Amino acid sequence: VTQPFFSIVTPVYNTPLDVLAATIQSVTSQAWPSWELLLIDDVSPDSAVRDALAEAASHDSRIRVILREENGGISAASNDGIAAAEGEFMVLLDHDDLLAHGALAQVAGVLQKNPEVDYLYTDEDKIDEDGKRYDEFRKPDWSPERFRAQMYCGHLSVLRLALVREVGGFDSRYDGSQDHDLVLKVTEKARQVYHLPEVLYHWRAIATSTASSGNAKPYTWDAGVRAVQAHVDRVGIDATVTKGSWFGTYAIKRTFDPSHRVSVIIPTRGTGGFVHGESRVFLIEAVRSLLAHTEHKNLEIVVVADAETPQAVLDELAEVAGETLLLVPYTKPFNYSEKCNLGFLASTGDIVVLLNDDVEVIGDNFIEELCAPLAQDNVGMTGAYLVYENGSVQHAGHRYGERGYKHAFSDNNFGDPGPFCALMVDREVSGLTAACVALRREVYQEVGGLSEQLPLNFNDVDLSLKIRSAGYWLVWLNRVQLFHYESKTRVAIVHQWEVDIMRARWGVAERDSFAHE
Amino acid sequence: VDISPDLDNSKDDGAAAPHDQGTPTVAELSSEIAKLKHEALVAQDTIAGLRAELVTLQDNYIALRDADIGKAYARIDLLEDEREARLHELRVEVKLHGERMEVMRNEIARVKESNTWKVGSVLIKPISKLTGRMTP
Repeated sequence: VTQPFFSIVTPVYNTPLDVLAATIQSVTSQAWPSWELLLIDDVSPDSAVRDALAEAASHDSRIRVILREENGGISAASNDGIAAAEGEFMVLLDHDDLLAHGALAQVAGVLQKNPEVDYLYTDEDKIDEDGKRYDEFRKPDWSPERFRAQMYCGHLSVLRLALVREVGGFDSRYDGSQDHDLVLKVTEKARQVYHLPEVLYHWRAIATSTASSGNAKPYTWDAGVRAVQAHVDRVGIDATVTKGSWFGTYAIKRTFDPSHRVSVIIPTRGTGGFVHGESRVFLIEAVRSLLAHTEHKNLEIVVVADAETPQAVLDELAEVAGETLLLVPYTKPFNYSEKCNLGFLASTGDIVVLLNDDVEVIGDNFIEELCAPLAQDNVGMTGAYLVYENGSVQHAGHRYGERGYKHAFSDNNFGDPGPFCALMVDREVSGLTAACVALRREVYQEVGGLSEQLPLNFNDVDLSLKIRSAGYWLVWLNRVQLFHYESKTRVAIVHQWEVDIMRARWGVAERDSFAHE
Repeated sequence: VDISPDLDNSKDDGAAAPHDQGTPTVAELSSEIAKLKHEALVAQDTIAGLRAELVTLQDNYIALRDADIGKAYARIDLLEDEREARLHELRVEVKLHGERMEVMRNEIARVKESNTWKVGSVLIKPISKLTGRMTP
């Protein structure tokens, strides 16, 4: 038998016969020869379904039919398939969906080259009742935070069977989100998770399927909350899981240890402007909104002020910030990176927040929500959801590719779900704007802070890439929300020497790992 | 490099400290330490940047070695084959052209040796003298 050998597990229940035939045919037409198709009938009321299964098995010895004696639901039926499976890997195929032509061969190629892969997923699209394909989902590379917040991996999912058995297979307590539960358990133990960026699965959208309407099976959301809560409990994340702001998404509300000392570093020159119909000094409103949206007490606000900052602004700042204020004078020519670094060196917190002076905090528990994920050692930096005054998205994570360094999803408006709910879930990103980020002190120090070779542009891109290359995740947080009045204060002019520094350090990315163009 | 803050840089108590000739004040020492911490942080960035450059150069080298150079050599082979084929065609063409020229030269010589040409030349010579034109 050519390795890897796939056990394709397909629970069947009253499937329309033509649809079932197409599903089976999508397997039998695969060029890759090493597979078995386990069709588990969960007591379909229509006896013609069982006849069709028997007929299919009579044509190909690799098709095996299991007839359950009583209806047990999706998990029980799938577990019967797992028990009977003889392959090295389990491939999940729903009874009305289609494997793409050549799917198994492509997956096999990856598994042969990467023997430590325990879980593999691919991109997918949907297929309507007329056979037309649409809604292509180009997924991010493995994103554990996003996976907690959303079962984005979906289909095609390929799992090492030994690991599936080790975690106990499907758990019927989570029926409706049983696949999310299983993949959470498998990835907790997986040596390597692999994203194969090819559309290898066609999800059939019929009137009652989840593919055609997320609300078709509302009970799945409750089951998902319980599955994700069980996962965070297993891995030791101190958090409460609730339904997210969009169907099928989850909010992971972490507890933030109040003993952390948080230093918020704000470079400024005390400028003002006209926003939301009123004149304001940006720095003052940034600090005021920050203090109004956090309950965290162990706080230090480190303002790094240019010599030209008006004394009246500093006086008002002292009133607003009170004892939390630490003022650091800056007398050199403008260098944003150096200002942040001097603020860092003067600060005393074990967590550092970099904050632009032209922001206004919107969301509650700002410090708590922004800093709590840093309790995980492998999270190097967290960042916020920034919107312009007109409500369009300014920052929801960076996207790095052949077209350069961009803000992802900037064609959306605040409140939009974004493609596949990208704006409604916490998730890993390639980079974060330093307009609002949080890091542990030792991480800032480890990577040398912001590069002073880049005084104006790309210093946050460089910081993001340094932190990622040191082995940490960057996590964008959808509930940490601020206005960013960037266009009011700055027009970006990029110099060739800045591009040259970035290219020397980081080359040119071919594709973004987390946000496709 | 440990650059955690262990001195409160915001306090300037140097004026109150004893200041012997050649002995730095606490304020001067604090300032010097702050500068050194800053230099250390900048050095950390430089190291991180150089590491990144090294990785990028290695990646580029591997990519060139495995892909571009291989493709370039393959392209050279193809172009050399194409050049040889073209040269062969040109040689054949030149040879054929030479043969055609030889045939034409022979044809001209044969025509000039013919009686028709000789008689015609005799007839045309007087007229040519009158008109000033050269005879063939």
